[in-house]
Amino acid sequence: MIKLEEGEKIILEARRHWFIIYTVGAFLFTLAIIPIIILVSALAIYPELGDIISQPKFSTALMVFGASWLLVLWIFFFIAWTDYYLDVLVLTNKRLIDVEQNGLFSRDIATIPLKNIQDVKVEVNGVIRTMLKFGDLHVQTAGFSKELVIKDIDAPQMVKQAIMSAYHDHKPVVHTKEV
Amino acid sequence: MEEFITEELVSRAIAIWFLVLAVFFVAISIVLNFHWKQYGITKASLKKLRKIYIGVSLFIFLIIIVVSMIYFAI
Repeated sequence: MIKLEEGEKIILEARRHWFIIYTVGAFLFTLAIIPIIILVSALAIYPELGDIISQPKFSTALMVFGASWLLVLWIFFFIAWTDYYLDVLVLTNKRLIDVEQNGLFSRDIATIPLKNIQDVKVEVNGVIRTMLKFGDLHVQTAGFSKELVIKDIDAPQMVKQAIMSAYHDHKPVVHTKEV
Repeated sequence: MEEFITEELVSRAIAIWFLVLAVFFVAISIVLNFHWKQYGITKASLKKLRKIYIGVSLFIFLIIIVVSMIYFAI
């Protein structure tokens, strides 16, 4: 996925927390059962609808469109999962690479040489994020774009420590002359 | 006459809808497969992923086809 330079090794690959894709899945599941809820509610309010729905042609047509709806939601789940999975933060011994997939046809790749990293901040806000231990990583850089923000990263403290450790390992050692 | 028109319309709608769905499924599957192969999913995981995605999709397609055939047979 990432073309590594000579002597470059991957130290860490971090992705967004599973809770993110879980919420998308839960939302799509809700969309899947909404037509059933609407149908049941409509039958409860208008019992005469039952006579129309029980007609063989109508009920089979309803089943066709119902199954199609499920298929569409299934496909959309995989599109969302692909988007989730392809958002990845790669830490190597030379640079930090943030890959962000936006939908199916857009991809942003930000590369920061380790020597340009000035500070790394972790932001964990909210009950769910605190309990599930995920949050935002803010990487301050010396480059043109001053700050890189990676949202909803899993175990952000561990990722921060890995980045700082890689940064210190990468920093050239300055030898001073003894006077 | 009205019933005939409605039935005819619904039959054509089902056929066209099925075609649109099939084209949509194939197009998206090609794009998804491109991304899965290109961007770092291991071969073993890729096999599993494809099995689940294609398997469930084909199962739902089968239901659609069978129910459509029942509709046209009625």
